[in-house]
Amino acid sequence: MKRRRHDFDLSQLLPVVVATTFAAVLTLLLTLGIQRAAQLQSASGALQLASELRSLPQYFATELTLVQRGLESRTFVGEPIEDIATARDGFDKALVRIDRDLEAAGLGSSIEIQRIRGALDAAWQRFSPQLVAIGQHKGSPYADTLAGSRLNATGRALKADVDAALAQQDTVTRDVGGALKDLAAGLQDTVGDRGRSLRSFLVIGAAVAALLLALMLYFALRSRRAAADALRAERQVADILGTVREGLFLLDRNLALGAVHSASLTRILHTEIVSGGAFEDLLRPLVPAKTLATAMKFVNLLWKEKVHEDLIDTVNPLNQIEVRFARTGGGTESRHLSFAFRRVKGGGEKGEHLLGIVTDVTDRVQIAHELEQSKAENQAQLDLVMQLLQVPGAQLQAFVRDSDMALRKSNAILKQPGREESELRAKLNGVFREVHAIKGEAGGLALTSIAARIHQLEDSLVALRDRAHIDGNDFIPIVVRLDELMSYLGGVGQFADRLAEVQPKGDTLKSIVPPLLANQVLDAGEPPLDQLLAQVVRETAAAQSKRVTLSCRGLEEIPAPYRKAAKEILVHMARNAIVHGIEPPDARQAASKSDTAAVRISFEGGAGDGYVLTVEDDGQGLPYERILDTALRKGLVSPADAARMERPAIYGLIFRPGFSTAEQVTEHAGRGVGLDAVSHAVRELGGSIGIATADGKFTRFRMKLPATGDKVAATHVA
Amino acid sequence: MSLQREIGTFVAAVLNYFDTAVQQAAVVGTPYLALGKPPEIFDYTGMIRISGKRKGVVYFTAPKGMLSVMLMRMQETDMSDANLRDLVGEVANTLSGNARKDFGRNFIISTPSVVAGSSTTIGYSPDSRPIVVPIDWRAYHANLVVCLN
Amino acid sequence: MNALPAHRLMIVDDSNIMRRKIERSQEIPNVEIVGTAGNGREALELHASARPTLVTMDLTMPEMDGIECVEQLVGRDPDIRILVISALADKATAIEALEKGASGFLCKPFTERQLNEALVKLIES
Repeated sequence: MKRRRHDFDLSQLLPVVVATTFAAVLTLLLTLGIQRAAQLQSASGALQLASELRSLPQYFATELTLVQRGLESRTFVGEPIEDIATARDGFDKALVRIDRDLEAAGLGSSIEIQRIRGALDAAWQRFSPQLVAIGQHKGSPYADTLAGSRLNATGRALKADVDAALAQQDTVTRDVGGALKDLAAGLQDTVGDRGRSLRSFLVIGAAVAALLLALMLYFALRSRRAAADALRAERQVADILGTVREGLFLLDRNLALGAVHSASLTRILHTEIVSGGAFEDLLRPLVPAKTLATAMKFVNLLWKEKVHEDLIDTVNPLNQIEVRFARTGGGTESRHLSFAFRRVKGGGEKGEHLLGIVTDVTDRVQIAHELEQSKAENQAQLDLVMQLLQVPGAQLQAFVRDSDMALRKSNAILKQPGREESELRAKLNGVFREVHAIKGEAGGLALTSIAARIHQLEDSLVALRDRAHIDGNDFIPIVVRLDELMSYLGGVGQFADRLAEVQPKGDTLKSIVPPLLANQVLDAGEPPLDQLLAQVVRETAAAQSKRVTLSCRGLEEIPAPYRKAAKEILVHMARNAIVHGIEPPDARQAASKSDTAAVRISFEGGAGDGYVLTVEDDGQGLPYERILDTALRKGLVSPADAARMERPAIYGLIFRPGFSTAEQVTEHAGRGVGLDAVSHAVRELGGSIGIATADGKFTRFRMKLPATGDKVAATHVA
Repeated sequence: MSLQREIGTFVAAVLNYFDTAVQQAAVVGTPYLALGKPPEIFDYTGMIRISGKRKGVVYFTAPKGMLSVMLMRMQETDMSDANLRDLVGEVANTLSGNARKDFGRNFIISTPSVVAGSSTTIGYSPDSRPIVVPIDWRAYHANLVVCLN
Repeated sequence: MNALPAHRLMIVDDSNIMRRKIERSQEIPNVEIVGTAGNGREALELHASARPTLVTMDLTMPEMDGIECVEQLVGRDPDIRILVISALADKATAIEALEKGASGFLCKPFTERQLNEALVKLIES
């Protein structure tokens, strides 16, 4: 990352560096050019002067000749003398200007030029004083006489000077003229040199300027292309971030969120993402405080150079978290999220950022969960088969028949019209009784897998019963479970049929029961009732870690119309006696009772007066205070009623729907439906229940049933 | 997704239709299993078929009287067969729409179809038990039937 | 063949079986096992003589637990590379060991392949 930024900086800087260099070079060239041009101008000036001066020796000669002739012909010579003085003065001044120009043209130090200049000066200085002398003669040169004019003294002196000057004229013309010619030639060369070098500078300057222009154009194009590339790259990054399903984000060293993140992040986390916001704040609403603290520690580990990121994956506390989001339509929704973190590496250095990746793994988790469930189901199936194999086929068939009947009856209850809350609650209780009855039977046959399933349905029913308000919608889970249970029992039924086919006759319970009794009791291969009860008692006592002996009397005499109901009732009562009536062995010992409890069941009567079914245990008796407390807590009685209630009325509460005193709901008891179902069944048969109990000694239920006849209607609704 | 939630979605769709389109709430009765014989079919039935993770059929079946009164409440005066068909089709449409929204890509949902006549039989796999959710509205009685395996 | 720089591995685990399993499983050519220790105190003693560069470290051990041992080892040699190997009951404890200077974590039970991959990454880190 760092190196790349460095590259980037240099490429940005290059045009500036190049442009500055070129501008400096160009400035230098132009300065030199201007200087050369100035020198060229000065040299040209000097050259022009030198050229102009070359005519002067001839001019002096002409003027001097004019003076000479004038003097001879005694004419006025003032004018040429004046001209000579002016020209001489001009020559002097021109020399000064030439010197100045030479200096300006940078030739002040040129040896050649100075030599020529020296020669010029020497020649001029030899000539100049003569001209000066000529100009110094004042007054008329003539003396006028009658004989005519003649030269006076001045005139003669003037004539002598003029003659002398003219005598030197050839030398002067040669020397001065030669020097001027040389100077002009030298200057000509200089002007040529300077002109050429000026041209060179200008050419180079133009070339440099053109190059600069080209370079600037190149850089401009390149930066435009780079900008376009950057824009395209930026757009592609935006596309990726907008499309990717994972929530991507960056974290800096302070664990603050980076400037960009994928669009999915907002969707997955159900919140707006603020750049620069703290990751901790983002996480806080999602996870418990403890997980949050661990998670922050974990993320900080990634900055540690020594820690290998692949080797700490397993300790990531955010690896899979369950979070709840408010649903738009109200309520909450549970999702499973998985956070992963990667260091963003740059140039072999430690990452400057962490890349965070959030994935919604709810589907995956659910699939895993379903897989787990199906595994558990397979195991349950296997368990069930093992359990089924323990039960004689005919007994199993009977159980399946009973269960199917109970479930159909439950369904029939649901199907009845009735939408009022009270009607719905009545349906609920009805279904509960049916379901509870078959659970008892399943428990009695040690079919724990089936019992567990029925227990689940009961769970749904209990959940519903505890609600303040129920409507038809709330029964959906019930009917779904009912459906599942029917499928399940259908499978068990098929198995039972096959089992009944393959089991040798000797293995069925028929062979155990004396043939005479068997004929009376056994109906379609059902086991005798006392046998079934013995099994129920054995199973229940084992599950409760209690020791119980069961004695049954007269059960084989139960008339056929009562048999089904009696079986239901007695299975309930027997289980109830063990779970609620009988104390644990240590409690019995403490109360100086035998640690093996006794449960006695009997069926008597038949002489016109009806029958009496008795279930008695030598347990702790009915705890009427606890019964009353429970009834109050469950709202079955009002506090005002409770205060007025006598003991028999209090005992009667245990038959009310929804009553249960067992602390823990187990498969064996404690739904508060057992005695409710018993009471219901007894009433359906047109009977009544009486209770006798003594604290710490016994509990006895006496169920009076009418003589069989018209009163016993078909109790099973198909 | 559990069958329970799926049924909940369908029931909610129907109730919502009564709440919003008909502007008079319907009441759900206790659902039950159709055991032995197929559930009762009324005069008009709007149905969707589902395949994918689950397979089966979901339909709303209602008597002509109920649909007519529903149309009346919707300010419709034309009680023609075509309009009654449209109405059950409309309900089936909301079933399909909600299912698509809630169940996601694991379900393939057919476009709704409408059948008329109470003697119609709706084909579904014989080993599945249809779940019948009674829908009561005013004095009328309709059924939402969910048959998925 | 080039003389690769040898990494010197010390195994710290209170379970004899686990120590032997790591010894047997380790098959990276340039890693040499220089000793095993049954607890943190032994590990520190062994460190003084064997000068390991790599350590596999159990967390729950008698006398001196893994976290303290990690801290002390890193105090003596900041460049030492420590792989924590533990049954992951509590992620917070593992993170604490990493905060104290361990470089990575391997969850028990592990396969030979997982161990070797983890050791390679430990050397890289």
